[in-house]
Amino acid sequence: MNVKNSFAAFAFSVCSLAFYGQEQLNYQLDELLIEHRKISNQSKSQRTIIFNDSLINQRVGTFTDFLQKNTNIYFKEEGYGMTSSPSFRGTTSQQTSVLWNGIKINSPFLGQSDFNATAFKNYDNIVIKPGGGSVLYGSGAVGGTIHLNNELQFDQKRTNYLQLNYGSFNTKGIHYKILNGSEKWAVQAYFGYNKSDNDYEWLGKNQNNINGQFENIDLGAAASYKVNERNSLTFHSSMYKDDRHFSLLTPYQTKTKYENYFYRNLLKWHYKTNRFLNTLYIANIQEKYLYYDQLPTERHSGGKASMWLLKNESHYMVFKNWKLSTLFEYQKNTGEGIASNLPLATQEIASLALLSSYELNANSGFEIGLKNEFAKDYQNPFLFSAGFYWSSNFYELKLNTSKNYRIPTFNDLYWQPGGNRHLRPEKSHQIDLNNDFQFHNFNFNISVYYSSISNMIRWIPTSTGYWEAQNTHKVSVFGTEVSLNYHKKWNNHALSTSVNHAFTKSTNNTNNKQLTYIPLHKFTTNINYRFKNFSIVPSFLFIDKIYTTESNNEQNSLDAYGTFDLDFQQFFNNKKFPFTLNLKIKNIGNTAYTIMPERPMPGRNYHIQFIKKF
Amino acid sequence: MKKILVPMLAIAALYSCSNSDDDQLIDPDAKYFNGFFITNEGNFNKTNGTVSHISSDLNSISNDVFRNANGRGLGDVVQSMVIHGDYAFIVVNNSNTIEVVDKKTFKSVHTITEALNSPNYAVVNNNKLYVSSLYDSSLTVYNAEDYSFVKKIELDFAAGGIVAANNYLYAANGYYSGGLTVEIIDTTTDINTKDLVFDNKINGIESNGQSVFVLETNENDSKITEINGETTAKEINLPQANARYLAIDGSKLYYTAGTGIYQLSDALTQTSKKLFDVNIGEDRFSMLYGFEVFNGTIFTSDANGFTDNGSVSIYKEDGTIVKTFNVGIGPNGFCKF
Repeated sequence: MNVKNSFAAFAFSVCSLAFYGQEQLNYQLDELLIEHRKISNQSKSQRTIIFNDSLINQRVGTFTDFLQKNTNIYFKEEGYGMTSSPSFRGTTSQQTSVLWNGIKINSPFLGQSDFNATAFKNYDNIVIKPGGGSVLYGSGAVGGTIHLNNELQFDQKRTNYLQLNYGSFNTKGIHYKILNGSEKWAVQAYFGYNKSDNDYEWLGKNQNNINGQFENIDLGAAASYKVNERNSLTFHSSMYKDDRHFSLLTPYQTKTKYENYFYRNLLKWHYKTNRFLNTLYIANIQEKYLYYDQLPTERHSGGKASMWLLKNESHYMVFKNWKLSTLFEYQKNTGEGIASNLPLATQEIASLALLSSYELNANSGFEIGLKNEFAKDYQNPFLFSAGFYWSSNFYELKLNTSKNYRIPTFNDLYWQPGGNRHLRPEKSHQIDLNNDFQFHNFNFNISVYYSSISNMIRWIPTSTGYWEAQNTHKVSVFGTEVSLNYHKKWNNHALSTSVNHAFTKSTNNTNNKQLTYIPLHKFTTNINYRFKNFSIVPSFLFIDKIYTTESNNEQNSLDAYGTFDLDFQQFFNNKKFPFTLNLKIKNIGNTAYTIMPERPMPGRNYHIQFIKKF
Repeated sequence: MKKILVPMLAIAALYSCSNSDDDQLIDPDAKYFNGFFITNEGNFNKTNGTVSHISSDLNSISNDVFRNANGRGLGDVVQSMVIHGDYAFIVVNNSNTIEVVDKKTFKSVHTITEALNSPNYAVVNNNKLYVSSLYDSSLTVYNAEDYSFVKKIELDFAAGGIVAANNYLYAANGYYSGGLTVEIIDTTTDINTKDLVFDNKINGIESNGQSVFVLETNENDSKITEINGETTAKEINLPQANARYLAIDGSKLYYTAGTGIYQLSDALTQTSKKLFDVNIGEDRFSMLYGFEVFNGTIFTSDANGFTDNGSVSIYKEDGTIVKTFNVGIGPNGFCKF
């Protein structure tokens, strides 16, 4: 080989290296354009669980029902369809953050989301991420985060999805979605409506659920426009309204109801070069709730809030294995009570986070994140996260530690009287170890975590006669999450099973007792067996005993329960009119159970669903 | 164990037999013959309100006496209770019911449901049961013997505490909502004859059967005023801010401020003296959720932040604790048998 040739070979190899490098950089950054990939990609040392649209489409019922039966998150539901709040990894409802297309939507009044006032059928995927995420998602991402995503796709032919369902207690629903895309444009629009008399029998109590009826409507649209190779714009808009009566505990009680209104608008601008990706978010979220406490009179109280959010995310590939990111966020929340004791209040929060992700090789790397927030009316702790991941052919390890927080809500700070401007944010340190094993058709995943949470905010009666928000006790949570999945296909058969178990030891440090309304064990399983166009899906849910008093008084505890559901699905492959019919039997054993005291849940109930894609 | 138990039961049976030789007939279900009842309001929207009973020697307690007697819960937010002869009226606020029970057996004899909207407090006068409402600017009136609904008396404001003296009923508006007015109703005609307006929010109203005492308070100091008939008689200024829980025991008045318990004579001539401070509960916040004085014995309750069963501590005037009992959730008041 002469010098000339070897030089050419050298030059070629450098070029190809550079070329390969560019591709790699591009590829890594492109991942960040798709919301659900970004969630996994931004925290490789934490587990993410993705529910895709095919699963979402086949479900009827409330969002609570969906998550209670498919995840390790435990839901406190005040009777079917009534207010519902999560406990994620043994934490409180305010310590779970819900994000809509990357924007947090927990109510500024209560700091939580009501999962029976949240639509879920219109999303293209829902991502569950257990563990702390305050560096990325801010306040409330302590127990975990729930991400609701609409994903827009270019170069897609027009597709319509229609679902109709009808079932027990005069429960009906209609959900429609249209997707379309060209080289430059991607659009989608959706509409959903649910209504139920919800007057189920209280098993063994000789009474029906009175005043439990609800209806809700959600609609929205999203569009993405590719301006050029470097720039694209995406706009999301959605609205939700519900009217939910609150079921009576005792027959002569005054009837009450809630109305919720949400308007969410978001504009995203992506700017991309080979090494650099910048996304600017501008969002406005408005919410209003009205509580009618003296039905049938019009007397009501409530609150309304508006949140403006400006967020800028920059990712820069320093080398092909080293990514630096900065997140800047400015948020201005304005809230006000309606005929209530919440005066007009404004909250301004700015935050800056710096993240670094370094790949040691193709199978391992580490990441680190630092964040500080700046706000009036409470002190802001400095937050961090750090993680390491490593994988081989059949095993993957994820190790993560973080410091997270939950800021006081509008009510906690400003309610008159009792709101307390001297509150400190709730603060949490946690460590999480996740192991994933893959053998042929088996997947086995086990997480072990520990978290300590201090400054828990609670409303307490004081010696002046009114209740006041105070920082109180500390909580320690130790838990394990195990999931086992098995998939097999043969001839015309397909089998897929999933088994999940969560053990949650969440204790109040003052008395070392299990926290109220958190079961020690939660177990879910479902088996999906398909033969040609027919599927049968039995599923089972077990919730352990829960305590309702801090001393874990047995007398006031709620019994453990288990419920079975059974789904049958048939795809009718007619040439001219293909469609799917789905028959569901929920609580097939007609088990009497309550999630919250004196709030019986429905017995056996039936639903039929028609699904059409065209 | 069984061998011992059988003769003991036999002896007990003999005992009760010999008792029944007396002229007086005793209901075999009767369990309460004296002592004090405690209303435990329970958590709002949880239907876990209960009533407890403490024996007059302060030695024993029975919790959840309504459920034990009736096999069902009382309901949602047990706000207050009033005794009338052999019966007790238990006001269950968020269930819109008043349970009428035989006070010896605690068995329900009737449930009043008519015309109730978030009932608060009740009082009996002229054989009528008067009930205040948290929301409605009116009192509802029932026959105290057959529990039938009689009428509604319109007021200017929704009433908090209501008390009676002679043939007058006194309705103090809005506890803890800054109410300033006491509306007076003549119970012979059931007409609101006079309104007395005070300077500061009313935090307590009590009657000794002859006179009525009103506790008003603000962030700096407090005042107690005596009302006789339809007019104010005497008054006394008190240096404590945010005074609460006015109680009458014989010729003495008691109230609380912060954790302090104060006492003065009902002559209202001398300022109050501080008796003692109650013990601060574990959570430091909710040590005084109910307060009452019977025969010089001071009953206080701690609601434990409503996340657990509450407790009742009984003190002597010198501040020594006689007894502490665990009770139901949110103990808010006491009532003599």
